[in-house]
Amino acid sequence: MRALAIRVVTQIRNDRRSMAMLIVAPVFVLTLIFFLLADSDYVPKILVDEDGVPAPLVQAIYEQDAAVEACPAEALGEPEKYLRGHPDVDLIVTAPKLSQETDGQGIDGNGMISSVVDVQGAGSQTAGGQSAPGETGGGEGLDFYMLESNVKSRDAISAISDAQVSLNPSSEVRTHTVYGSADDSTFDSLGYIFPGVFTFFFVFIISGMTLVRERSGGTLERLMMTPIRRFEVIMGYSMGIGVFAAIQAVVIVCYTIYVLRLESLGSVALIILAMMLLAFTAVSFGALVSIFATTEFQIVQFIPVVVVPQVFFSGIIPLETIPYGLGNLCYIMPMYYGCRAMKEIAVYGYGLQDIWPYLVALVCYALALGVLNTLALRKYRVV
Amino acid sequence: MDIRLKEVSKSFGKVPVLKNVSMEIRQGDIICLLGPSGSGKSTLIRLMLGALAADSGEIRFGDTRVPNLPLLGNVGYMPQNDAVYTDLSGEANLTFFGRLHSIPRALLKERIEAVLEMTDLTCDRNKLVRDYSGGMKKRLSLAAALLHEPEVLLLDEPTVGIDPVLRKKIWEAFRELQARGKSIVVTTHVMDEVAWCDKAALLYGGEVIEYGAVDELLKKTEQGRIEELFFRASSGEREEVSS
Ligand SMILES: Nc1ncnc2c1ncn2[C@@H]1O[C@H](COP(=O)(O)OP(=O)(O)OP(=O)(O)O)[C@@H](O)[C@H]1O
Ligand SMILES: [Mg+2]
Repeated sequence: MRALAIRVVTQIRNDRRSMAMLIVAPVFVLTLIFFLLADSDYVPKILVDEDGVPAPLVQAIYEQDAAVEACPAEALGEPEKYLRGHPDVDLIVTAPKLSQETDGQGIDGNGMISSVVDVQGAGSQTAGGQSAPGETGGGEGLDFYMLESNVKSRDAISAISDAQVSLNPSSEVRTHTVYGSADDSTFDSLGYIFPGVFTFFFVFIISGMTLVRERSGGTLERLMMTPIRRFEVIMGYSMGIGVFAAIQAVVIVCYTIYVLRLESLGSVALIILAMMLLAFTAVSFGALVSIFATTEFQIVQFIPVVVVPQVFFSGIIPLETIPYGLGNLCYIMPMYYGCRAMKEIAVYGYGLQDIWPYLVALVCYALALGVLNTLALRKYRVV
Repeated sequence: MDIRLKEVSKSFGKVPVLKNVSMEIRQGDIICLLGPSGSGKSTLIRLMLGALAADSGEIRFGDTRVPNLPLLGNVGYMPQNDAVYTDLSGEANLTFFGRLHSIPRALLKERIEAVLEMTDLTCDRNKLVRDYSGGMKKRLSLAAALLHEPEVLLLDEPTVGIDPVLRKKIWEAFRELQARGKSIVVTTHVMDEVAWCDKAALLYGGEVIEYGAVDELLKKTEQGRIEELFFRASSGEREEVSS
């Protein structure tokens, strides 16, 4: 068994591509994601209808951290058309025109590119604005026009609410979060998921490919024609690839926390433990899938089926919002347990006494897969 | 350890590959399995190992019925394709297979030297196998099968792609193993290798059409070439079909 583990280690070490896949690739992708999701210092571009919108509000909007300009006449006349021609404009703020429908439905009918958010109907997006119209909009509210609802237009809308709040401080809403802070970047709030996802992904590929290569190359049959026991084969494999899975877990966690500066309230060692268990599960998962594949390419074909769905259950989407109780599928997905454990350690600051059920679930998962894999080796040798 | 096959049949799906094969291989014999491509030579070897389960019939090594785990420690198997690890050096491959057979460290070192010398790979021992030539891989695969000094060797085309000089050396080594009481089963396409063997089994259409001492078999031919027996078998079949 040890011989097998040592061989797998040597084999992977001698194969530069596998090494790169295990260590360099996740670090690279994580860095990329860090920059993609980091807080940007983007300055939204806002056009204000200076004649329609009450003067004090206009004044306040100009004071916000945004590129504010007076709204040209053509934009006032046909804001949707103007936005199509000027994609750099994030938001046009006007007073409602009596001649035009201002209720949500009428404007939806204008097509998919443009939508209008009425301040009074904007709900949580402009929570600060809801009590504001009384003072600032003369009871008529404001019309927002934007090309599409995205991070940039939301930035612009929050600039407007800030302006309204500055006129009417009593309407200010202060956000208090139990965990993290309200102005966390996306990376801050989801960052703990990505290390888990990538560890699983890359370890799965390496494990599946190593084994499928061995199956198709005939070395597995040859290996089985020595007096080694079936469970020793599976254990040896898991240990060999597990060494790299463990190294990868340490590298990724340390990189995320110490280089990308993702904050962790809990113990880093515990996060590493959770990651390692997730990685070990990925080893067994890859081994299991390799049974159904005859070439390395087929391992890749399995990724959309067995890895991608797990990513969605890893915590990127709040599971309670998934309809028909499909969110409960998470309980059959190892990635859920791993990522959930990491979230609770890193974001909630929980310790081993709180998260142990997740770790136990991962261990059970890996063991169950190990048993399945051992049984599957009967194909090569019934004893 | 004598090997006994009793009415062994095997089919893949509905295609019968071996039909009621019975034969006995006595300890210390070198047996040659001859037959056209696809006649079931590799299948027969894998059945003897226990890598495949027979549909019916039984195979025994001495008193032990195949498949049997401890028995595998006494068998050296060389598959037809070079089942060696390309991401490892030649020596690392041998070390690995040696450890699987639980050869003690000191002895293993000695054995590795011996099999490397025999297969003429001593100079290339530290090269990664992916940089080996086809014949070198074949030799390494053979070396791995001989490593643990098994009582029975099941070698699937061990000398394909090996030059005549080295081939002679390898056959002499087989002879030497035989002198020490080892049984060897070899499949081959090279008819002149039959001369090195004690007995030959001719597989044709899933059946053993001839099995016996090589000189006996040669007596049945007109020009002293073993192929004639196959020509006869195939023409016999054609006559059957046409009549
Ligand atoms: N795993 C398998 N599944 C289905 N059919 C198989 C399998 N293995 C072998 N066969 C079939 O069994 C027959 C005998 O194959 P085998 O490999 O034993 O031939 P062989 O005598 O070794 O040929 P060669 O000299 O070309 O190596 C062939 O028709 C082959 O297609
Ligand atoms: Mg063959």
